[in-house]
Amino acid sequence: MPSPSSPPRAHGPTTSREQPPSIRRAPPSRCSRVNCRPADSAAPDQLPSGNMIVCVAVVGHQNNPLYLQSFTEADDALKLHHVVHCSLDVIDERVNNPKRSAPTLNETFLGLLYPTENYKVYGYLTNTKVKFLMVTTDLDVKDADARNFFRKFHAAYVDAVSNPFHVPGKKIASRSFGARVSTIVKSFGSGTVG
Amino acid sequence: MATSQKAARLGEEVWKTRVDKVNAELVTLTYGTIVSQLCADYDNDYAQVNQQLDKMGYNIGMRLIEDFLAKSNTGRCGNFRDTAEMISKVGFKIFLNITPTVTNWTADNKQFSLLFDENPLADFVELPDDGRAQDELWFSNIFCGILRGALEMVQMSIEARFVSDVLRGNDVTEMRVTLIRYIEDEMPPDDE
Repeated sequence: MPSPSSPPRAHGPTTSREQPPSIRRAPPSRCSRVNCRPADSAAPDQLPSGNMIVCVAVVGHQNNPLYLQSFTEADDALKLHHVVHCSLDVIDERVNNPKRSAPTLNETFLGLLYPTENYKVYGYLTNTKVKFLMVTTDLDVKDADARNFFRKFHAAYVDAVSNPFHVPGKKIASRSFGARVSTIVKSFGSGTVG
Repeated sequence: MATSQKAARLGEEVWKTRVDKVNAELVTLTYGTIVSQLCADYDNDYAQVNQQLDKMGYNIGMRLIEDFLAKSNTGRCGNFRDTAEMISKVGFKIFLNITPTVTNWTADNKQFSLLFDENPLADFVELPDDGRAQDELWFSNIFCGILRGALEMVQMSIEARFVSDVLRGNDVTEMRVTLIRYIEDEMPPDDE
């Protein structure tokens, strides 16, 4: 394991398959938590209904993980986290090389970042460079749904960091944030927009 | 009850016409910062933090009562029950736009509870998960000091303390207010 002080640097897309330091750094402590699965209330009877979010993450502006939560039964947390961290490189790439036109100046929704065989990763970047990531098994997500999801997620995040006992830049330990995120994730499946 | 309705009307009117409003989140975040900073300064000695909040509240209350009297333009309350209604329906109303419920009177009319259905100070707040804060910290303790300070300036010596708080996982946020005595000797000399 690399020393925790090594800054989680972003790599180009070619190196993203090897785990950048931030990937290795995050999962070990998180996996044990994921296995105790606080989010399971959401999962069991909601088997793939088409729209399934399997993982959400909040990543700080130095690519430090602030919140990572998977919503699957299976023991694939590590894999999901790997996917999330790979996507960070894609975000960096997009942010550093904004190809597309200027009107995206205030656009926070980054769209589809990283399609794999089984998953699709969507991203969202706040103006404070905090990234939200969402991994879904649904390969046919509407952009509007994803946007809507991130809007709610952003609101939940804002409330969580407004807690005076939350230290900015530290992991989000709030239980109510966790509960709210589970609800949002659940409602994503129901396909309601608005 | 007549006084209660009258107080409610008065509170409503003053709130609408005579009070400058500020953004609620500004208040919430400012107060939250104060409390968390106190916790840091006193090394999470929550008993100390409660005490400091109470002290700060006391100093606020002593000044705030003047503002309250000027804005509400009310006279002396006939009894402690009226005082309670005034606190809830006018005091809390004009300064925070909330009206905590007055309830649980003791038979001698010297003790009541204020139930806070909403508490603007505690929005967003989640107490630290260190196993002690949930049992020791009264996050909104500044209210107790404010009431104590304000009522002391109008010749009432009271004791106020929280007995439950939704932040701690209780069902309600309840503050217990006890009248100790009317401060007769310090009545201002009759200069009429």
